[in-house]
Amino acid sequence: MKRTSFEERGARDWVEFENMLQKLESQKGQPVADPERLPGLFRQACSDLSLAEHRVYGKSLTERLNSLVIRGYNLIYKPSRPLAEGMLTFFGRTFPRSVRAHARLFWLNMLLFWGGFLAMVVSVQSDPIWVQSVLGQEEMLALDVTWGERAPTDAVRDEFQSDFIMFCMYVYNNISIDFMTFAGGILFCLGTIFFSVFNGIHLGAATGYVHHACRPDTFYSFVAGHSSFELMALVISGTGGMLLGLSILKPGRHTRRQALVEAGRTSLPLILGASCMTFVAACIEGFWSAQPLDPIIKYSVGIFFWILLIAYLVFAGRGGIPRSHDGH
Amino acid sequence: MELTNREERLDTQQRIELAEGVNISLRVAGLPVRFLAYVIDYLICGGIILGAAFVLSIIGIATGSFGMVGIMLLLWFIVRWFYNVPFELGKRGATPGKRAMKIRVMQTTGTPVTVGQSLVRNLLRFVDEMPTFLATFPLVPTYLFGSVAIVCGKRFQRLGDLAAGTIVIYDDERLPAASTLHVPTASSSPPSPAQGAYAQPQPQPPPIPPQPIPPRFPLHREEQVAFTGFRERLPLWSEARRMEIADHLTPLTGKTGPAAVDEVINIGAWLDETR
Repeated sequence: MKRTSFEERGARDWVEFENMLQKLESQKGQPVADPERLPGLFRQACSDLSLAEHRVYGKSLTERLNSLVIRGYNLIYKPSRPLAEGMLTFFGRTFPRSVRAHARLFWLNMLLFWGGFLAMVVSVQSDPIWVQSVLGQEEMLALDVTWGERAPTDAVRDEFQSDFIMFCMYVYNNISIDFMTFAGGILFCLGTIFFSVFNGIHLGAATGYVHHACRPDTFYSFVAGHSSFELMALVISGTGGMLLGLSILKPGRHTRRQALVEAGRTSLPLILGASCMTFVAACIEGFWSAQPLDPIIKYSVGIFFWILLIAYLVFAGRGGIPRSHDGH
Repeated sequence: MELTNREERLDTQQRIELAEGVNISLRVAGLPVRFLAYVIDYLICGGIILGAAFVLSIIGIATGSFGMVGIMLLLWFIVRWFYNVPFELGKRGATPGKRAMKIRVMQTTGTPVTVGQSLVRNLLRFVDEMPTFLATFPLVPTYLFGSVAIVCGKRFQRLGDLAAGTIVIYDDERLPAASTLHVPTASSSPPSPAQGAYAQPQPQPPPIPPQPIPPRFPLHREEQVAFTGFRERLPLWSEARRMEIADHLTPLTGKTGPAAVDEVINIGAWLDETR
């Protein structure tokens, strides 16, 4: 068959297909006369493209069919995403499962973070020089102002507005740190290791300094409530980041490219869950932690949240028949 | 369309096989066009932030409250990490900057990106944009890491693209509309004003009509496409350029200058008409 007769025979279908695509692609999503014809027209365009390529009907025709096929493919294979059910499955099953699935990396990150943290807290008992050199003059001054002997004993903030600002600050700052810890992993784990160790040492130094030089009661009763979610989220973000980096360092049977894509998929639940945990922490830290309550209440709530979080990560989503695939 | 050694090809076509068993080709977008798209998006983000800061500070002054600072922080957080996500999941698969440059984001399989992929590639932007200056408010990224990754890979993927399994390709809007299905061949009228931009100096109309002659040498599939393509694109070139291209074939055709051009056109015409 000659090219011109091939074009004449196909043109009507192609034009109809293209008009249909145009309507469906438009921002408002105009109604189409008979949508059930779309798959048929799409398959027709696919087979025409194959024929045109095989018979070498020239670039302009194949390019045109190529573009029709791509546009149709994109429309037909557009993923649909039911949000509410997805969230339920995610928090009930996917997230805690994927933390457990990478338990070894999780413990490695625990070590990276808590190692530095505890080292700082312990070192301050014998010699405060380490903590002082980590924090520096300005930061120690700031800690003195907030937690020092002359700082107000209870509520640091008194009105809702400043609560809200602090909440936003925690969302902005702490979730960004989660994201950076995760993303840094792609640099052969180095970014993740840096952020985990750095944050461990830095937070440990601040804790040690306050314990040593300020009024620790106010500090501990402030951090008790949100500490579980915030700190564990950091460790879990790090686990995700390490997954990315290790996929490049140790791709196993895949090519590095495939391993990385796979790691991107498996680590996504970790960073999403971690950022949600940090969000919860920001809510607690912003609106509750500074409330003028009895420290005993704050400590008990803090311990309750730690137990709740550990129980969630250990037990949630065990057993039962999965309703949908994990780690989409 | 096979070529004996695909590594030697210079174009940016990516062949992808769909579930329907058909091969499509995608043209991946390189560094310069992605850079321009990014600049546009960067300016839009800056505009959003500055505009919001202006409006919110007026509201803040009018009501005497400081809560607007918090809203500003939230907005900056969202814009910084998630500006791209809703656009990439939209019908066009492209941010305003990418739309302006006629490129879009896709999976390497040729399908639109999923939520997860879009999140991964935008979270990893943090690494791609390294090293950054002034890492807090007026973020000035250099995109050194991302650029190196783009330049090194065959598919022009930055690190976020690699981890998410996505590519940035040229959108197809630029292809001819339905009315131009019958492309102008050598024998048709001189180029329309729309094509004039490509055709400087104004080309002479080619000798008409071509006398189809069979090639005196065997031609691969790819080479046949080159011959017919020469004929299709003829109106875009000046006479000198046509001769320059046709002269490359002198060892085969045994002709130079205008005669070589005619020869190539005639062979192309023969190929077009006999299939």
